[in-house]
Amino acid sequence: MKTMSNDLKSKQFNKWFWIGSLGILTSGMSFLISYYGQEWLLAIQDGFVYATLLLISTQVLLTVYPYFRPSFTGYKAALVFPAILTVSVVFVGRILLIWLFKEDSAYRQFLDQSLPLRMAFVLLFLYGISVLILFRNEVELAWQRKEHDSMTDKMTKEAELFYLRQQLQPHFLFNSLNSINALVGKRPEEARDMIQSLADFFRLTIQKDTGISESFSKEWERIVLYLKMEKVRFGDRLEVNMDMEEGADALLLPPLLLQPLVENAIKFGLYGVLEKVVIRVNASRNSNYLQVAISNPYDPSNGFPKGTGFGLESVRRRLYLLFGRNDLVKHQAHGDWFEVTLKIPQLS
Amino acid sequence: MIRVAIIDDEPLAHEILQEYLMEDKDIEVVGNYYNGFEGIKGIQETNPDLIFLDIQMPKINGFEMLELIDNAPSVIFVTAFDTFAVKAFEVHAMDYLMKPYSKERLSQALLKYRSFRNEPPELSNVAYASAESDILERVVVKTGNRIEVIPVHEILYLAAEDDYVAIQTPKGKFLKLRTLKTFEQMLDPKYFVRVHRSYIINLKEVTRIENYEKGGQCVWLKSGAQIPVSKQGSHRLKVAFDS
Repeated sequence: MKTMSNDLKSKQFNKWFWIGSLGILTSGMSFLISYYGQEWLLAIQDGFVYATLLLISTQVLLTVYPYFRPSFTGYKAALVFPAILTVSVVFVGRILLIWLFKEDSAYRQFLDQSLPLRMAFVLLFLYGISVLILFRNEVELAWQRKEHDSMTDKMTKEAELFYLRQQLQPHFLFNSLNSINALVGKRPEEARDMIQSLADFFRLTIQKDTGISESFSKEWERIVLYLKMEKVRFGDRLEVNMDMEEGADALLLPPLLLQPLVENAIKFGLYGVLEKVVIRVNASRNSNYLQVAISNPYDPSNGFPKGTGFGLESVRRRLYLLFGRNDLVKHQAHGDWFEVTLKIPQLS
Repeated sequence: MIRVAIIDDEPLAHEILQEYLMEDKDIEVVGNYYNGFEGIKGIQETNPDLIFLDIQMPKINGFEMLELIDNAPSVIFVTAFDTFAVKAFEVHAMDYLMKPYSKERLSQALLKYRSFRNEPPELSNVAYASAESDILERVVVKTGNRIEVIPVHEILYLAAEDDYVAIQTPKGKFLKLRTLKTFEQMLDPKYFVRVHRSYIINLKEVTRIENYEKGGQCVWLKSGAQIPVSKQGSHRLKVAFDS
């Protein structure tokens, strides 16, 4: 409701702004023209034609400038647009005024004599407007950038928080503890192993000093531990197939980026089909990208895996905020396989 | 002698339970099943007195499995989630164990079973929503020996037929022993509207709504079916389409 009324207000403000500008410009121009010896009525009409043309040009500049960013393309275009517009304004203005005052040859003489002055005036006016618009756009961009940065930061924090909560939730921790409970009696060595994995996994997840990116080897280690523990839980039903190309471990990615996707793969694989489940994780270096593919079997008759909720969408959003690209996450189902592919740009 | 079956998709969950139960000379584990389908088949074959049932399992969850068993045995749920406890007691479960649980807690549950075994509480026929949320996401039905899992978005419409509800899908019609009212409560009201005392339709299937002369209405579905709309139903339909 609030934004709606604000919108409405700004629209009304806009209307009055344009009418006011038209009035001021018209009277200013008329005064100048009458000052140089033209009749009042004539001067007002001339002034009105010019004021209208100037405002139309302003509108054109307002429409055009957002489509190019001087910080990227340089200021050449910003120099050219007003010049072109000036020539058009003076040219169209002359045609209109001649057509309006066909019979008045004295006025026509005045008009042609004043053309250079008119051109200079229009040029100055439009350059002034351009500077204002571009300045405003730059300020807006700076704001957007700042907002964007704080969003990225927030998303990282959100992800961390989410995982902390997630891992402290029943399904993972308690099931793991139940597995340990079962192992302690008969296979104490395996129980110890599981406890160690659980501890290492938590330590890697809770780590404080994670910045905007961390080395892939860390994320990889986390996933290895996670899947290892899931394998203890689900036994022979789960097979994990992990493969990392040499050198990929030194690449960078945002912390905890892959975890939700691996969890999805487990969820849709193990709870979506009855048979044995193979989960594949492949990581490779592809020109300037770290490329990771995670796949799991799924049953197409269950419908497209939905409710991925925080998972796939959050990964997409994080990558978009970090790199400004929407094409970094792809998911596809071929037959009874579901695969998510990620490309993480390496900035250096 | 108490004859017991375990239904859980994690082998280690079977191991620990079996280890605990072994010490009780009065108990015999007659079946270990690793998903709901095996569970249904196994329970029919071995006819245990008591089952230990996990909730999150492949394809169909523990609640859905129970729905499909006639004369279900007594149930003790065993799960790592605490969110299903209320639902578990709604279906008159004997007890609800949370993983990991101690031997003492298990003994308590068994004690409870022993004291009730001569007058077992009837498994109630209340609505079991899907384990994931309160909104129904899929319906399980048994036709002969086949079990069908129908995602709700595949339902075209539901019709009351005596004590049953007929679920119409592109694959055909399935009957479920339920009232239309329970479905009305469980289905997502954004997509399903009760347009008549005997009908619930899937809004996505509607192609047009026709007015009759006497003020009545009927909806046409993509499948070509015509469903009558009551006065109240037409109001609900309007609200649903407006929102």
